[in-house]
Amino acid sequence: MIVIDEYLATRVVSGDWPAGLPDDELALPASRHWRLLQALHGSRDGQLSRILAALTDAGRDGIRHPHPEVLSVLDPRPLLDEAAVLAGRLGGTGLLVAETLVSGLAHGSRLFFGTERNVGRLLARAAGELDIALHVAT
Amino acid sequence: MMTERALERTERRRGGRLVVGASGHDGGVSIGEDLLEERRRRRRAGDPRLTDADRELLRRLTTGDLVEEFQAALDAVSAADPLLGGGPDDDRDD
Repeated sequence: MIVIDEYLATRVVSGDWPAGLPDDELALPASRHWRLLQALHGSRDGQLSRILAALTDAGRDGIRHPHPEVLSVLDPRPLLDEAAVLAGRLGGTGLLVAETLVSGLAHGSRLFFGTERNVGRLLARAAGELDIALHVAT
Repeated sequence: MMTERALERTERRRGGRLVVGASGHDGGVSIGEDLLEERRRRRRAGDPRLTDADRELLRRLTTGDLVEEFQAALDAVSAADPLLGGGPDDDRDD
């Protein structure tokens, strides 16, 4: 199983499989799904929410409830304790970074992102210390 | 309850691959390989519920002209949510 970010999740849901993404089952950390859902359900004043309003109900469902044969959302419960340990050691980082890192540790010590912009400096630095390989698949 | 004969059949199946095709172990495609390939094909095809217009819109968000809006929305969610974000020194993923 490969842990991916919001970009890759959105791409594979749409059937756009990046060439650099290995052929394996895919999983999105729950906090990253939460970010996608917040963008989807956010105020209609938000630019992205207005754009996403153009999706059909089926299209919105593809993000809200990913098709199980395409994408899984990781259960955060088994990861929370390790995420909290990690957050403490990293100086109180938030759930997004901590959960993503422990998800990567639990699934092959690797993480795949759709763009380098979505990695972030703190996550990149911590991944190096934890020997988690970061990949950008475009 | 499983009969003795049924148990024997089960053991034989467990002992080797269940193979389809005339050549068996010499080149037949196992049912397991077939099923895995079908699963792989469905995974790569994306969500079958989406329309072509849905797919195009999501493509624009992730690799097209709407990438900036997509990243800005993700960053805004993190910035507005102290549980999700937090962190001492990062300007985007915290």
